[in-house]
Amino acid sequence: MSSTKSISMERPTTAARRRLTLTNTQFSIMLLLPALLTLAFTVLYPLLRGIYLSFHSYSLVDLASGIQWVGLDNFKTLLSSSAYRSVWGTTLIFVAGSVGGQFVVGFLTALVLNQDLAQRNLFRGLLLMPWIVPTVVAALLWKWIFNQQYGIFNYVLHSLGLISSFKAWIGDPSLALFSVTLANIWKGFPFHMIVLLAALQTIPPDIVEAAIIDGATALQRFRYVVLPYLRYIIMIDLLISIIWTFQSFTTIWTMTEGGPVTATTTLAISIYRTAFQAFDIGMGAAIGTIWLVAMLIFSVVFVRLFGGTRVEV
Amino acid sequence: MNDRIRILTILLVVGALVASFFTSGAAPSPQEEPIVIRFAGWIGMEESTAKQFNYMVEKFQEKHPNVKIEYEGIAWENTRQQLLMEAAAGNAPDAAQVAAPWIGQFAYSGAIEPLEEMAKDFAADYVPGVVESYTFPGADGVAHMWGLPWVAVHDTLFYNTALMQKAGLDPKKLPSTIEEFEQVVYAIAKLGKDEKGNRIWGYTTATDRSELTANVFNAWLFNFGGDVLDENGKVIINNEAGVKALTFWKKLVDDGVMPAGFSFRDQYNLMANYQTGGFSDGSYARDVLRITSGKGKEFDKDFAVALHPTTLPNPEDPCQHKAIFHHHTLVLFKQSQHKDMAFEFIKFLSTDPEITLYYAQGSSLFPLYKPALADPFYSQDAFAKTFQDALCGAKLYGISKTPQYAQAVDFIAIAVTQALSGGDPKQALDEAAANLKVLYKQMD
Repeated sequence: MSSTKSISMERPTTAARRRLTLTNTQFSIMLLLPALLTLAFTVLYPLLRGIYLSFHSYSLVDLASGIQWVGLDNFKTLLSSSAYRSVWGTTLIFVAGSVGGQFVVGFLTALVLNQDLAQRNLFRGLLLMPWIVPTVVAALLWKWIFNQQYGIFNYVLHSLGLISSFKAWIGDPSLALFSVTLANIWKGFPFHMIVLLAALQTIPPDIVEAAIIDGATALQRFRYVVLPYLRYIIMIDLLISIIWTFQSFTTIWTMTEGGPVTATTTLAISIYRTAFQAFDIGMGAAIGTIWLVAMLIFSVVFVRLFGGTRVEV
Repeated sequence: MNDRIRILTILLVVGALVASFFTSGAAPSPQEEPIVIRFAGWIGMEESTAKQFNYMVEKFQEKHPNVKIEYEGIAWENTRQQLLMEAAAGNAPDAAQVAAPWIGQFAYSGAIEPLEEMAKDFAADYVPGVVESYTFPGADGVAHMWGLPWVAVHDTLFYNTALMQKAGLDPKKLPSTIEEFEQVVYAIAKLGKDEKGNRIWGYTTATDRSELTANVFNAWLFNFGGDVLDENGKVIINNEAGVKALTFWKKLVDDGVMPAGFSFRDQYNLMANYQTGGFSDGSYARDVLRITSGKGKEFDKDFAVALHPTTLPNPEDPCQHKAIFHHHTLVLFKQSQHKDMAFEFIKFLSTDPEITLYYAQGSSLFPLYKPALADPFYSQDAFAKTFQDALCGAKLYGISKTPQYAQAVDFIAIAVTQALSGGDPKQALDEAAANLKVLYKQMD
């Protein structure tokens, strides 16, 4: 149907036709308008407002002063702060550990579940459980697992002789980041598993069979058939997962509130503490704006690096 | 698709949206509607106090049939941000329950109403020191009374007398000084493990990166003669007394008497399961323990309360046993459309003898209004009496009167967690002091 085709009421007058005639494009736009307006109010406006606030001083404990222009002051303060740089370091370790761990575990389980196993559907369902469990429930669960007094983690490791005394897994600054990362790996790996399993199932069996006939080993088939075929899926999977993990708040906040000391203070925790505990909305917005710009640059570079040219199979 | 149907579809969608927008805002005439007072706080959300609050609301509405109290439940930990966000958005409740340490942030925000005029007829009848603590300059630089004291929340030490007996100690002889406290908690920690193999600690408190860690530590700081700010607002947390207090905590952790990295709520489980010799808390903890233990009032025989142990001279004087107070406090918002009635409601909650007695008997939260405290219940109940005795040593610490309270407690909590996880107490407090000096613009 042509997008310029006109529609009109039956037997319209000339004036009425001018008022009521709509092209299909106009009609489509009108139908989309409520959704677009909703998105503008819920996504675009907060985004622009956040960027706007990052150039201002605005504190909820000083409402009388209102919003005051401070130019780049918030950014200068952040970039000269060692605490802020440390937050980036913690965030990068958390993201790398979480996404790396989730991807490896997810990929391995996807490869296993792609085999012709007995009770395959049952295992697929069971392995999805961590993903289905609400994040706050999973975080509380892990908080108990890591509990120094009652936690099963200590009990198991101690029983196996791997530790001599019960450790404060989320109370010790040297262990806390590892612990929240482990919890996040458990929570997030099924996403990778399901995405990669779906992708694995799109690989035509005849290609794999051809590789077998050509004498390719399992490792060679994985390296030269499976991986190139999954390249774009892996790229999207990792990109989404990295962005999500950067945003991860609930797990860390529920388990450690960013502590002990500042051991698990990531960007998301830092923004919350700055904007909603210290009530420095301007500074919180500045942290968010730098983060937004960093993620945009990262996404472009990531897609350019790993996107490349599509391999036709 | 038929063109007429397409246009009708658009008209229907737009019509429905417009109709829903206007009907949701439709209201009966003001004459038919009662005065609605929106009251926010955590009281109605917690098992130990919800029933009492509903009763108080019911009683107030009986007295004022044209008033409807609308309750907005906010979890304790979200109260500050939610109320300040609502105020910033022009949607503050009429009145709210806040904790005393947050009063400075509300005062400086400009969101709450000064109460000295409205409360002038009865403000002098609160226990000494509390109203004075709530009276300080806000954003306008003029001293105002910012809140009505509601119920007392200040720490004493809860001792597990069952474990004291097990450790060969006399459960009737509770510690008064730091030395006596050490003897008790070390003896209990020596019990090692319970029959299920769980570790028994001598003393447990919040030692994670939280506001409560900072607040509990500050009570100890006071009892070592220290403070965060002196009377002129100068940062002194890293003075000799401060270092002594944090070194004492660190020693308890290093000696396996106190766990590090525990959250405030962990102490209730440990106490209820006979795995800690004691903890610091307000009077409401009695009801929390009754609920957590599953034993109800039966659990009361297994613990006792005493004033906070002190290093200060004349420990026989109850006022030498310091505590930080977190009294539940009632504030009135400037945006309230019914200030007089909202104030009437918070005055009722704070001062009505029948209501405060009912609340105290049901929740172990005791009023701060002297005429209400005249009821014999408060002097006959040994538990209540200990908390009454502890009131004279309780104070609101200086940072609570500043808008930088949240950042300040975070610096303190970071210093505590740093020292307890292997750091040097002096260095941790020096870092906290440096951060606090930047925060309070006291750079040398």
